[in-house]
Amino acid sequence: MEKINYSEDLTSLLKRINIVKYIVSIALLFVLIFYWKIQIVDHKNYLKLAEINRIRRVDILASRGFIYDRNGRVIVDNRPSFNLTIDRDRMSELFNYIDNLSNILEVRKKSFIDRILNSRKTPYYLPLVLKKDIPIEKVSFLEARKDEFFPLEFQIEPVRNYPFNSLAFHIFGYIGEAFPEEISKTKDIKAGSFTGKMGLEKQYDKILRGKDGWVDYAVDIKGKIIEELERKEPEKGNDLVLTIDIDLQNEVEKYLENRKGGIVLINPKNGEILAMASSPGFNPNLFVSEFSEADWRNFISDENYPFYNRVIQGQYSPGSIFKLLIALAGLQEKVINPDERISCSGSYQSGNKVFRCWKELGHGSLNLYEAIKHSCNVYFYKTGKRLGIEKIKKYAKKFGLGEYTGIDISGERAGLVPDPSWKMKYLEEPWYSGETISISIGQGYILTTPIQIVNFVSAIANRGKKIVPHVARGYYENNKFQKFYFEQNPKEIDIDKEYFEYIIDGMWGSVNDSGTGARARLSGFDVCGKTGTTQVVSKIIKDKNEFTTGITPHSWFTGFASKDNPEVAIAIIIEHAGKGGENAAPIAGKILNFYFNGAKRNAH
Amino acid sequence: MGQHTKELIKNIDYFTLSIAIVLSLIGMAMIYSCTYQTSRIFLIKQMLWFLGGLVIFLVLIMINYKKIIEWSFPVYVFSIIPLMYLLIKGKKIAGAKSWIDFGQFQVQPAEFAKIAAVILLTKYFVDKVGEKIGLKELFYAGIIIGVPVSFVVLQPDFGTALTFFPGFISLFFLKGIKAKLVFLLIIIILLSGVFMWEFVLKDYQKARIKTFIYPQSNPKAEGYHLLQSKIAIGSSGFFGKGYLKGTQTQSKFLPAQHTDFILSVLAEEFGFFGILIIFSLYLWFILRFLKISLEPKAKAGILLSFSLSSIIIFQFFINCSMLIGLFPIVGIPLPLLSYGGSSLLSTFIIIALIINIRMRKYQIF
Repeated sequence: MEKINYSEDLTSLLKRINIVKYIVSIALLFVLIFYWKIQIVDHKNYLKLAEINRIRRVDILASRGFIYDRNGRVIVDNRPSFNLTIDRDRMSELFNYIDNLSNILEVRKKSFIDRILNSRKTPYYLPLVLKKDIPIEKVSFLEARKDEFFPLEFQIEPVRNYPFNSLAFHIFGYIGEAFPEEISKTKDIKAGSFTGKMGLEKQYDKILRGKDGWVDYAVDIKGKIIEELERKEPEKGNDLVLTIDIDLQNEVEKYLENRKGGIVLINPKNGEILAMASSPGFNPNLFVSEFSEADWRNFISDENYPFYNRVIQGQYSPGSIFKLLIALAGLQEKVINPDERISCSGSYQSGNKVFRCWKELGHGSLNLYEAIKHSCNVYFYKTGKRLGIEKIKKYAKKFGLGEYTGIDISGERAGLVPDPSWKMKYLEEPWYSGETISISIGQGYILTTPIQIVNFVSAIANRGKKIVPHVARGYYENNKFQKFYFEQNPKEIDIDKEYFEYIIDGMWGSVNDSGTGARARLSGFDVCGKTGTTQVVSKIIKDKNEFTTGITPHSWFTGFASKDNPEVAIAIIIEHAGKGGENAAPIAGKILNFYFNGAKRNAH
Repeated sequence: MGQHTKELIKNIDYFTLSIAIVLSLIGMAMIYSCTYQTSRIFLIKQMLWFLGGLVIFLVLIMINYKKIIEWSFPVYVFSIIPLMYLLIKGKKIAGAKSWIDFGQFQVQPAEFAKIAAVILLTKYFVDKVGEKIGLKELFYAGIIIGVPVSFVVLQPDFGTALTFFPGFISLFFLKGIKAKLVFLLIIIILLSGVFMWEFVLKDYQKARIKTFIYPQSNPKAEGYHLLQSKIAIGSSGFFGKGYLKGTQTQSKFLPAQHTDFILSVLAEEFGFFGILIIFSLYLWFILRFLKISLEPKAKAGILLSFSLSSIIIFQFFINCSMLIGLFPIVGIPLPLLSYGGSSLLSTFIIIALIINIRMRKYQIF
């Protein structure tokens, strides 16, 4: 009975098992197709993912290029920074050494612990930096006791070094870690790269920066490095050569100690800046070592603005220096002639307003030479009035006053030479004729920077050739010097050559013929100059178009030497120092003395 | 040696045994590849388990499988005791109380319980004559499977619990089942699914299932294992990266690489070519099982060999599907290749029983 049942049953069982054979075969083929898709069709994508998984690229920072002065002296370079690091796998061992270590390095224990606690934010394959920039004595002390401080290692990293400390800070600027927008804009700049943030470091960042290298490491799932796969060595940046003479710079900065102001010396023939100083300054080395956030806040809120390069960013009324422009414009426009005598009674009335000369009793009658030499206000009130504001503006523009000079340091400000349309646009007020009178002696809304002034006086010294001021001469690329061509097209200013001679004569008289600039005199050299004393006007008073006498004025001096062979031009401003003739002119004299008798001798 | 014994030895399926040995050796080579950096103990243990498997194989083929079916109830009860013990006294290893610790060796009782349950189930169906399965049979069969499965789910070891079902389903498939019952079954499965989701499944298990359904939802955590597996498999190309040269494996990006993900390791190091070889061997292996299932003159032999085969088929498909995201990652090892003594031994027990059936294929009773 049972046997029969079994055999009936069996045939249906066997049929079903046969079906399963096909199902299994088809299912296996189905799965195999998926393996084919992943392993063959999508192979490249997965290979890429495997590489991303496994390869960690560690950047090697490039050394920035050096900066040399005009005489080939290294003025900015790099030095090694020794960073104390610990392998991430061994961080826990640190607690055995921490007391000892904090004594040796004079660092609070808490700072190490904070770093360990924050270490999760940084990738595991990079060793944890416990302290940056450890002094070399301590490095050798720890290295000698390597057995005691087993898991600790030193990592050497190039850091920027400014051997002259705060000297020429405003020229060099400083560097810092790249901003996110720099990283997204430039392919070569990666997170953690350093870029110039101010001054030449910023302006010539591309030349100085070099190319960061990298190492590809194979890592395991924990991010621990297994082996080095490939390496690209970093390329050092190119060395920059400046027009600055570091000795002259050093001398110049002496005169700004504990003062606020700026001094710039330039070769008027080619625009090479020999020295450029601004005060107060800052030691850029301090940015390199760890600079706390609190330090930063103090620093940027300092009301003396140490970042501020007063030579290119300080906007001051030019004061009496502007009289030189009025004179040139007057001659060219033929509203005055050099021999015409104009009388000064100590004041000048225009409409119902009275404008004073600095000499209360007046200068009597003066020709152009005497007017410049004595810096007579009335003479220039009258000349300015004859010219009118539009012509004044036109000539100021020719000399680049109120305009960018194009100097190769970032952050330059334009200043301002006002005219009626500007006033209408920004102040929505008509122009008063009295304002033209003020402008004629460089007061009122007019603003210029010291670099504009030195550029202006250089154009006078050149008898009408305008140059582009610059601090970099060129750079070395693969040991080949590449020159920058700033002076390719010295611009001719369309003013008759002979008129410049009258102005230069007046400037010579100012220094050498008992004029206002007499204290800049240097025996043996025909120094030509012009002083300026700029009333400091607060905004409210300025709007009323009146001058105040309450605040000590800024002192100006600008000039060049020598008269017939101008090789150096200078502009000096000292804030709140008083009269230009008494304060700025003597500094010019001393600096020019150093230039002709000191620095020059040393250089050769 | 009598005529009878000669006959038996003649019918030993050396072919199936050879494939099993080859697959085990390939498994050991892959285990070596992904563990040699840390320790050789994995390879050594696997070798010992393998030898143990051969011994058990030899013992088991000597006992007539019908005797084993007869004794299946006490064996079944005996297999459940350690599962109960685990729930009471077990220590969690990798999040589940699945292993009994014997010092150097850990044993996973569920691997053996699943075989005992399938044998008892076979016995139950062998005794049922004729007719399709009805509600009563479904109920009893449900109890037989349900008891050990509940213990395993409570461990909780969701993957191993699943391996109890292929034997169950395969028997229903063979015997045929009333259409009404299929609906009932579906409803029961859905209800128990909801129940499991709400009360039994751990968050990580739910996350795995979610990841399976929405693979992009969680690439960092649960999707991570799958992604790493796919990277290992996909980055290999046709011939692979070479033995001991799989970057995903050697850098330990692959999870559970010597156990559940051993095939990913093989795929990475030997490429699609390696997969072709393994799949061919397995297809051969499985078709051979099915062929054996067709041979016995006795119903008991057919049912048992087919239900046991279905366990291997099921585990193979689940494992190789989950590695590429065709199935959620459920902790089911690849028979013979994956590291693990209990899995290897239970597979050898299954093979021994199937070969046992073939040896006695002409016996009606």
